[in-house]
This record gives sequence, C-alpha cells and structure tokens, in this order.
Amino acid sequence: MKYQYSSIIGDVVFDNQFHVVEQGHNLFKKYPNLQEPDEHHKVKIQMAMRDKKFFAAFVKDNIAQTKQDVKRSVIPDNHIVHAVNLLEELDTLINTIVKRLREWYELWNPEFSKSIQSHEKFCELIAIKKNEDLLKEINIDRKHSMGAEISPKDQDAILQLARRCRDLYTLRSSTQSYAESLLQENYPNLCTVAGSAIAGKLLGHAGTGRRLVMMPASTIQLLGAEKALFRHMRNKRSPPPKYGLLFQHPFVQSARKSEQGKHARALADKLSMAVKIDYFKGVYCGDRLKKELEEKFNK
Amino acid sequence: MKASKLQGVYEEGRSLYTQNLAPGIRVYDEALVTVKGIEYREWNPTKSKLAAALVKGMPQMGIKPGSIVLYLGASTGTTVSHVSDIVGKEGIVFALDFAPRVVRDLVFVAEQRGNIAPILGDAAQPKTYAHRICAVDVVYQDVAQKDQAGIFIKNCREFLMPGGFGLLAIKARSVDIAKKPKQIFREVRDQLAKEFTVVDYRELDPLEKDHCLFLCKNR
Ligand SMILES: C[S@@+](CC[C@H](N)C(=O)[O-])C[C@H]1O[C@@H](n2cnc3c(N)ncnc32)[C@H](O)[C@@H]1O
Repeated sequence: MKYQYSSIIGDVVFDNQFHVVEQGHNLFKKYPNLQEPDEHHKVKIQMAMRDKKFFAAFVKDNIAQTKQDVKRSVIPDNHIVHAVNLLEELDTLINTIVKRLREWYELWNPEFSKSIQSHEKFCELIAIKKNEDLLKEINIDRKHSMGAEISPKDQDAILQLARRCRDLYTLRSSTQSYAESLLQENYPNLCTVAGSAIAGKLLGHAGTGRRLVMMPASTIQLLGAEKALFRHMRNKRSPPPKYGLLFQHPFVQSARKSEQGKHARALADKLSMAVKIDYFKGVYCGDRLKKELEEKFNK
Repeated sequence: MKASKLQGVYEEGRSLYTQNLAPGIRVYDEALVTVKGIEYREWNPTKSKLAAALVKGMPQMGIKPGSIVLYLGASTGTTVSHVSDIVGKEGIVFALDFAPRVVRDLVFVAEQRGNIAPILGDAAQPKTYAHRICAVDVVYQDVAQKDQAGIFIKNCREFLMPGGFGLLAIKARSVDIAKKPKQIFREVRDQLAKEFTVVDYRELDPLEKDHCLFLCKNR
C-alpha cells in the first residue's frame, strides 16, 4: 500500500512505513492505487518531510508561493486607506509650508496677504499674478506699502514655493475625489450613512473593510478614542469615552450634549450594518438606513 | 567577540550577536561588526523579545545550528533574521505572518538568506499551511493576539517534535488590558503546564513592557 501527499514542494509518494518512495512533480499518475493518508498518518508524514534534502525546495517554493499571495492580497481598501492617510498628511504639510510662505511673502507684500483669508486662493493668486496687479486690486500704492523692495532672485524663491503650494492643493483635491469615488464604488451604504470623510477615516482606522465588518458596533463607536478607552480600562475613575471619530458626524454634533453618547451608539449600529451590507455586496439601502437613524430620535 | 553558553550566539561586553548569514546586509538598523574576518550582527534586546529573554537570563532556547524552526508572527523579520543566523545553512526557519504588508518585507529578507521559508497565513489555522512545512524542533510564537496560548498549543500539537521546544511571547495587553499582567502570565503558565513542561519563564520588563516569554518542552 502506498500513500500520496501533496506538499508545496511537489508530490510525494510514501510506502506503508511512511518512508519517502519518491518526490517530484506530477508523480501520482505513475503509481496505481495510491491512498489518501488519514489524520493520524499526517504526523508521520510531517516527520518524513524533515529530510534536509527538501529544505532548499521548501525555501524556494514557499518564497514563490508567498510572492503570489502577497501580489493577490491587494484590494481596493489598500488604495482607499493610502489615499485617506495621504489627505491627512497633506493637510499637515500644506498648513506648515503655507504658514512659511505667508511669513516670507509678507516681507514683500504684507497688505495683499492680509487682504485674503483663504490660503488656497492666496497661493493661487500670487502664483499667477504680477505683484503690481495684486497691489492694484487692493488699491495700494507701492510707495505706501510696508513691503520691502526685494530682488528678483528673492521674489523668484518665494514664488517657487507658492507654485509648489498651489500644486499641493491640486493634489489634495484630486486625491480627495479619488478617495471618494473608491469609497462610493466599494462602500456606498457606509458613505451614505457616515459621509465619505468619516467613512474613509473609519476604514483608515480599521485598516480594511473586512476588519471593520468583524468589529462589534461598540468598537466602531469608539474608533479614534483608543487613548481614552485604555485610560478608562486601567483606571476606572477615568470616565469611559462615548465616541471617537463619530463625534464629527452631524448626527452626533447636532444632538444635545447629554444625548451625544446615545446618538453615537445608534449611529455606530447603523454604520456596522451598512458596512456589512457593502462588504457582502448586498443591495443598496443607505438612504433607508439613514432615514431610520434620523427618525429614531425625532419622535 | 566570544561564544556564549548558547550555540550560535556570541557576546562582546554586554551585547549579544549572531553570525551574519548574509554578510554585508543589514535587516533592520542593527550594527555589523567584523572580527577576524567574520561578520556579526548585533542582536538588540529592545527590538527582539527573544534577545530580551536571553539578556534577562533565560538559560536556553532550544534553537541551535541545524534546528528546524516554525516562527509564528514573523513580521518584517527582525527576530527571524537572528534565528536564521543561528540555525545556519543546515537549518530552516518557516516564518509565518498574516499581514501582507510585513510579509512583503519578509520575502526580501528570505531571498537574501536561503534558509527562511516565508508564509502568508493565519497562525490560528495550522491546517492551511501544513502542506508548506514539516515537523519542527522549535515553535516560536509572538503574535500579540487575544488567544495567544490557544494558537500556540494548536501549532505545537500539529507540528512540534516529541521533546521539541516551544517559545511563547505573551503580551499582557492583548489578552486583557483590564487585568494585571502578573495574573495573565500566571493563567497562561497554568494553561501551558497542562500540555508541556514549562522549563523557564522570563518577564521582559523593562526591555518590553508587560511582556513575558515562556520556554516549554514537549513531552
Ligand atoms: C509583535 S509582532 C512580532 C514581532 C517579531 N516577532 C519580531 O520580534 O521581529 C506580531 C506579529 O504577529 C502577526 N500576527 C498576529 N496575529 C497573527 C495570526 N493569527 N497569524 C499570523 N500572524 C499574526 C502580526 O501581523 C504582527 O506582524
């Protein structure tokens, strides 16, 4: 009696003492009447596979298989999470360098900088328009401006930075549209109930939709409040958190302070349902879920 | 540089080293030291729980030149690379992790060394990778999961040779953050003692806060 075993390193044929008869590829058809080993034979097989002559193949074939597995592991969630995280990083980055740009530019033309609040508009305008024209727009005569005369070289350095800032705003907005469209495609129910910004952050925290699906609603409710939660669990005198990033949701924001915890809880329940429907490719019912949520507290 | 009590592990002053199986290549940011033409990699006990346990006095670890090791929770290969140095060309390390992101880096490490077989898989489901490995001399596990001890016992039953060693790193906070670490460690110890002979046990504070490492021997 002989046994067949399919290992990652190929086919292996064992005799009834579980010694290796032959190892190679497409072996089984050479041997008539091969038996499937049962559970308690497996131990002996695992032991027979310890032979040093198999090690090189174990390494090589596991590397090859794992490369394919890693390749196939990439899902839309990975792209969503990168885009969502990039958005947060861009906000920090843009904020830092635009502040620098303002400070620097104000040596040259403080009046124009002060006349315009939006950072984005500011970068856009100074990147494309001439300084004289900007002064004209705010009716300032160069002679009465606090701005210093600076060399073309200095001006150029400042405007280089302005153009890069403008480019980063463009990148930010295209990244946002990209993330939103992926979220809409893959998580339509979650998007409707949470809004795409919070939907993205929920996925970012969980890492993948699969993990979000496995989470109990009570965990979703507290995503983003991990620090407060740990503090509470170590020391019960520290109050338990009521919500994490769900706090940003209008449904929680608009509730009375004393009701916010309850609202977050109900919202988390619906989000949990929404993401499950998305993950298992159920039919779209986001509007209904949202309506149910709102009605629950309007009575 | 001198050999320590443990085969394949070297010491110089208070630092531990392993002989670099892939000379010239760093795996993380460890120091490389060449003595008499042989290159060693410093084994940092704040980055590797196994090194931490040795620094804290664990007298043996069951891993030696030629060993066959199943490493669960391999991550990007920090500790795995030192285990790979120790078992050397005659040994093999089956290194498993379920996170594709870290396995991507692990594959690069495996390709440089020739004795690491990387696997993308879930340690809680030994049947799914049984055909990719063989019975082993040592099971090492560091997965920071809720049912750490249960997963470990399952893998040892499935793959560990009689008389083989099991090393289990426990992170108290992933079991239950409300309980005292000491109590969790005691519970795990009792759970392990039903199955194995618990040979040694080291708390890793302050090198790794609220962690400990168990060394067990299969009966
Ligand atoms: C603390 S890290 C291990 C660090 C590593 N032992 C070292 O010292 O270099 C824990 C790893 O276990 C992995 N992990 C957690 N649960 C797992 C499971 N069920 N199966 C496989 N890997 C798991 C995680 O992806 C993570 O990379």
